[in-house]
Amino acid sequence: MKITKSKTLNQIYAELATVIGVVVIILMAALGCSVQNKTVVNEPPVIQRGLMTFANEYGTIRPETVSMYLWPVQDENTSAKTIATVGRASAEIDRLAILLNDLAVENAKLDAEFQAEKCVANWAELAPGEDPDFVTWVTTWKPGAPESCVKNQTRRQELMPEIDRIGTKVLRGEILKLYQAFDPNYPNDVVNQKSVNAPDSRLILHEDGKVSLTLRDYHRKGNTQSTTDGNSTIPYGKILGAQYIASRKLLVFGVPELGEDGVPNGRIWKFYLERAPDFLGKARFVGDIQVVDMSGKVLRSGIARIEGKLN
Amino acid sequence: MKKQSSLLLLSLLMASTAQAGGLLSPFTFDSAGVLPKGIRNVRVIGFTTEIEQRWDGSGGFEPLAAKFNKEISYQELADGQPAASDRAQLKGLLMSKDIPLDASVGVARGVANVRLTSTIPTLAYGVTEKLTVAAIVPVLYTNLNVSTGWAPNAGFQAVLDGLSAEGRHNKKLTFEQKLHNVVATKLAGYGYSPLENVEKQELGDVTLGAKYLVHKDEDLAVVISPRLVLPTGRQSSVEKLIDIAPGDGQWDVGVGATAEYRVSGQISTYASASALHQISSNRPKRVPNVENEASTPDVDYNIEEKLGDIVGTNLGVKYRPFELWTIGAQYALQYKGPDSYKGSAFSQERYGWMSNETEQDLQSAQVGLTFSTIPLFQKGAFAAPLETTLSMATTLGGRNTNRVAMAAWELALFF
Repeated sequence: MKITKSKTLNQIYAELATVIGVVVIILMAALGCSVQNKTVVNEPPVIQRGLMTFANEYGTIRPETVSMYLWPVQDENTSAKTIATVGRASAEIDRLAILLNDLAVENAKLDAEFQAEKCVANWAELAPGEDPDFVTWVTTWKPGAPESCVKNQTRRQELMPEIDRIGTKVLRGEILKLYQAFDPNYPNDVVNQKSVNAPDSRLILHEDGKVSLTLRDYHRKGNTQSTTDGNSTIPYGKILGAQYIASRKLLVFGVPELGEDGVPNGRIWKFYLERAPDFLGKARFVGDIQVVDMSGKVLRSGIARIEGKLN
Repeated sequence: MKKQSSLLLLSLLMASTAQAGGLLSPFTFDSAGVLPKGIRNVRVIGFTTEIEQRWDGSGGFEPLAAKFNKEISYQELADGQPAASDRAQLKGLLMSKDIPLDASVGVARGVANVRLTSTIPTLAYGVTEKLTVAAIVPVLYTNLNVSTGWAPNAGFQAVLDGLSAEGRHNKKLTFEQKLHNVVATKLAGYGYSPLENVEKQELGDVTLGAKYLVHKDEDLAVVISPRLVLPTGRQSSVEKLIDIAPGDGQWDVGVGATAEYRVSGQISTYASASALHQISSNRPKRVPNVENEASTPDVDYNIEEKLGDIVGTNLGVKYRPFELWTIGAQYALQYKGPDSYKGSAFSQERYGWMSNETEQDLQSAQVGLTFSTIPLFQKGAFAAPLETTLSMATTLGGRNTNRVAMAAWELALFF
């Protein structure tokens, strides 16, 4: 082959260009494996915040109320409505209970003042032979009767029917609403509410986190189930795993469920109850129930509450 | 027809081979050239691009993960809980507090970008002086970067704080994991795999094609180019919200025509048109439960998918200022019809939603520089007939397609 100057240059040119082309291609292919690692900031909500800051208290609670309800087996939306009804009713019951308590306290205070001022003995127009100790309401005041006595009686005459109305009608109506949320045919067909003999039950919180708990008439009248060996009337009915986790103000325990024959059937009612702020001077534990089978599978869930004076 | 143009091969066959089912900017220059009888051609074509944005349906563009960035409602928070009892608990709690389910809990955030690099070995053979056949085997490299997060608003934080005051602090703690990243929680609740950065290299849909020279004279050459796309690439998985799949699981048949005209000794122009019919197939696919929502819990395992047919046209010019160098430029306009879906597992309205934002159009441009040793080889001055092209392509506008700029290269050897 005859090699001219221009051909030689072209050849060199071609060889160089080919090599450069291949290198560039390899380089681009290599660069083609990189990607900018962009990220977004995740700012989750603060979950840990908010645990009540009141000090942990220990001692014996003689329960006044032990409420246990299982959520009815319903579809998602119906279940949500039930939960909403229960939430509203519970809040309303608490509100009414506080209102009722306030009215009762005011009434008692007024009554004490009325007695102290001897309003009846000194200022009531009594019929001949009428005993002032049996006068409920003064119908006629003597001239010059102090305004404090008159106003006191007027206010108590307003309070008494209001206390009666709230206590017997409004509050009961809300409680009925609550019960019927769990058992629509209450009181005829009660399946999702569990009763316990609260006054005869005991809850003792020990400072080391141990818990002594005795439940009377749980599952069946006459039964006793306890954390203490030998105290349970049911074989294998001992309350399990009871502890109070002070750092979380959390009371946990598990109660074996009894079958139709009165013997534990392998299911456990697990309670996770949080110490809430005292309610009307009573210690209150509120939280969830999970009914689990032997494999740990949650079969039912519900809510529970224990309230009582802490001594 | 110039020899140079006859040696640019099969680029028409390349369209749509790298992105399953949808439109992608062309990354090779069209040509009406065919191989001489008995000549083989091995060509490696590649391109790389980083996809961060997409052309929306109204002439603008948006981040690829735009749908992640939105207000989250309590309803969505509830829907993300896999257990019906948890959903009911949350809804019931809100109802009891008279908080509407559509109230906002905060803002979801997301970013996604993907490096897409395709290497496409092509083997072509001149069967006759007029007919060239080719097999194109795309190999697709993807490197997906995705990140999600969220920020709750003050109202939601207040609701959470209120739970503690009600003695539900411990109950609240049980949701800590689920509230850490509600986007991730929602996807998990819907049965998706966790979103994560993924790097993959996979085989795409193989294309078998041909070019038949229907006319050739001194200045004009016209070819028609039928092709068949085989469903060899992996389909996207229903387990993943973002899955850059190299295949669409469907057979495609297409045909194109290219006419190339020599204007002068140094300049030629070409025009081409192509159409691709995507044959329907049955496959598992997610069916939206809310219109225009990217994620959904529902899967139809036997949905009939018909991807929209594609038509396109290219106009280009090639200029050879020097014997071994050619500069090329082209403009491409493509359109893809809407996809359609049929199934019986859910309401027909929901299948109709799947067609939303699937109709595409795309305008793109490409410029490149080709160096060829073929003239030297023909003169006996170079050992091998090689051809190398480096080019840049960019999308100019579009609808429901990615907004990208890409670098492409080719290396061809003839023997």
